[in-house]
Amino acid sequence: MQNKFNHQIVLSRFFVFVGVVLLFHLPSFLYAQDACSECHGQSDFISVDDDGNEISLFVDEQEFAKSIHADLGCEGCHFDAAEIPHAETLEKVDCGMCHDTALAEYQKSIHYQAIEEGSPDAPACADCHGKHDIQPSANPESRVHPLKVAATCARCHSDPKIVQKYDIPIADALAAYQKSVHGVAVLSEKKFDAATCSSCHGSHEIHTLDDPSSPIFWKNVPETCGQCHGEIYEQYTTSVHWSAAKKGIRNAPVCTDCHGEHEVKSPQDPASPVHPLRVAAATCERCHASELITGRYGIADERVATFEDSYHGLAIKGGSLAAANCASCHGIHNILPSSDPKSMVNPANLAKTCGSCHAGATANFAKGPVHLTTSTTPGRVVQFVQTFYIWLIVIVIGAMILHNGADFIRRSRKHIRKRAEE
Amino acid sequence: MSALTKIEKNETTAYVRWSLNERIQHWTLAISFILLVVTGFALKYPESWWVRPFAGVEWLFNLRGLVHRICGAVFLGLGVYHAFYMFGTHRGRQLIAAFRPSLKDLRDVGQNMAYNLGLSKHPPQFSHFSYMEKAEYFALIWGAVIMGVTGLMLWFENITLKFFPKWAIDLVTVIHLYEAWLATLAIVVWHFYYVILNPDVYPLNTSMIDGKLTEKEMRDEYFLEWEALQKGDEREAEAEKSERAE
Repeated sequence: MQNKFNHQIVLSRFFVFVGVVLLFHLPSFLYAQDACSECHGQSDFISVDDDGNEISLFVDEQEFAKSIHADLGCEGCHFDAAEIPHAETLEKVDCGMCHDTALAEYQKSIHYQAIEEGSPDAPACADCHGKHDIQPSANPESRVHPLKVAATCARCHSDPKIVQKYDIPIADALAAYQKSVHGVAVLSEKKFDAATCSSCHGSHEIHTLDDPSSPIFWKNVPETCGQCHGEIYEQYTTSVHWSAAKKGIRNAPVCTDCHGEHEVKSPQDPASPVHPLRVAAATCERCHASELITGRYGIADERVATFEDSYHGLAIKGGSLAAANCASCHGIHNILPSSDPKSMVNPANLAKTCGSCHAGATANFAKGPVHLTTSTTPGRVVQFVQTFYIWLIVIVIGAMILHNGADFIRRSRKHIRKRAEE
Repeated sequence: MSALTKIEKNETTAYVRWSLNERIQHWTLAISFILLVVTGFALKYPESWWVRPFAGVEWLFNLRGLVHRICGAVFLGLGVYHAFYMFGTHRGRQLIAAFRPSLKDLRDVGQNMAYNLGLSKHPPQFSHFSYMEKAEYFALIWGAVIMGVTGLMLWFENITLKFFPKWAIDLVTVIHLYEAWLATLAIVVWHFYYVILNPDVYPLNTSMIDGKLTEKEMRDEYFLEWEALQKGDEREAEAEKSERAE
């Protein structure tokens, strides 16, 4: 009994479904597209708006036939256009009829907000996805396929007029992205799982940088990058940088503060700010040599200067990839203060850390300061020796110059006299 | 006992001041010293105008280090050879005797200052080595020992760190740097003056090339030795004759 009843429901639902499908497609079956294309297939078919601007009403049939929506026919979207002649005004195409989730997301975005505020430039669905030529994002022909999405965004975001009009802070993100490790991976190496604009900024639900719900809001950056760089994200969240950042300390670096964003390069790229030869001077120095920051948080100062004076620092400047840079000793994403037992530069771990280059490193490596500042006794001793030598040089070489200067004048006068006699 | 050989050929008299061995020692020292200075300061001053074009090129940096260590080894090897040469040969012991500092050297300093300042009409008279040369030789030995010891400690830093704390490396680095400055400036101001800029020898004192001094150079610069040679000339000539006869 129960089974039979269910059967009836299933059957009746099936017929309703078939009926709806037929009904939905009926107009297109009846008119085919021929009826529409009679007018809209003409390339010079236009209308004129209130301001006198010509608006092309031409639809390329062949293009539409290739689109993902081809099966829907014209009335699939232009449902009120079946009647010919058309009503005075037709409804705008509502993608949300089918794509309700995407629409709901889009309506939360800065783009939708701008449209609401009357911006004539802000994008709606078709501006990014196209109209009659629309393709699914997995199709390389699609405007939002990884190969093309950057160019699609750049139509506005690298347009100097739009950038200026809306005060977009980064003027040409596309140019930077194209040179980035992500851009090269996607555009040249065809690795479509590498990051595109939407991987970090989101797609429909785009927010501005200052919106805490944005994936690029500074505190959300580690999680955003962590979508792909999961292991690094795990390490980073144990670091002193993250424990400060999550407390809201904006001076603490998140991923982009060291790696950059649109222009992000592989650390092996000599142009990367975290390349072994550049990391000290281009990255760590920006905070750890900043009096403001070291003073504000009581971080040890003179770290970078003492490093650059050391053999390691000089060898790095000379181009040696074998010499230690900041990260060689302090770690990269898992940086911790030396007081933390897990820190690579905790005195208990120094022999091991130094030992990774200096075979057989002993506990002597941990004795005395590694960064030799004058706030330490050895630092003062070394500084005293340096001062002693400088005075020694000034006195000894100065005396030599006086001694030889007098000798030079005497001999020169002798020569001049002799020449005069001749 | 003189450290000179007088030779007379075609009616000109010349004095052999430096043997071929000594000249080779000198130029080995000079070349390794200059290369050490260049490759050492290239490490310390990567942003100077003459290093900048090469900075950041790893193989050049590694070559720089290799050349520095090779020259350091040559310099130290020469030092050891020189010690054997000075103490182990007759000629070396003659030179040691000639280098021996004396109170006269101090008086010569005063005399030379007075003469150069016009306070005295008489220049000091030198024997085989003037006080300027003695001072330079001892400074060289002093510098070579300091640079050698500190250089070896830095070269074999892992061994150094077995016996000393890390800051010893920092101390030794500073000493190596400033001693290098002292040595370089001393060579430029002191040595290059006497052998290049000196109006009496400009553009170059060639005695370290052919090993010889002319009669005039002997008389002007090493009067006491020249005088002694003149006095002993006959006696030495006699001795030479008898030597030849044998």
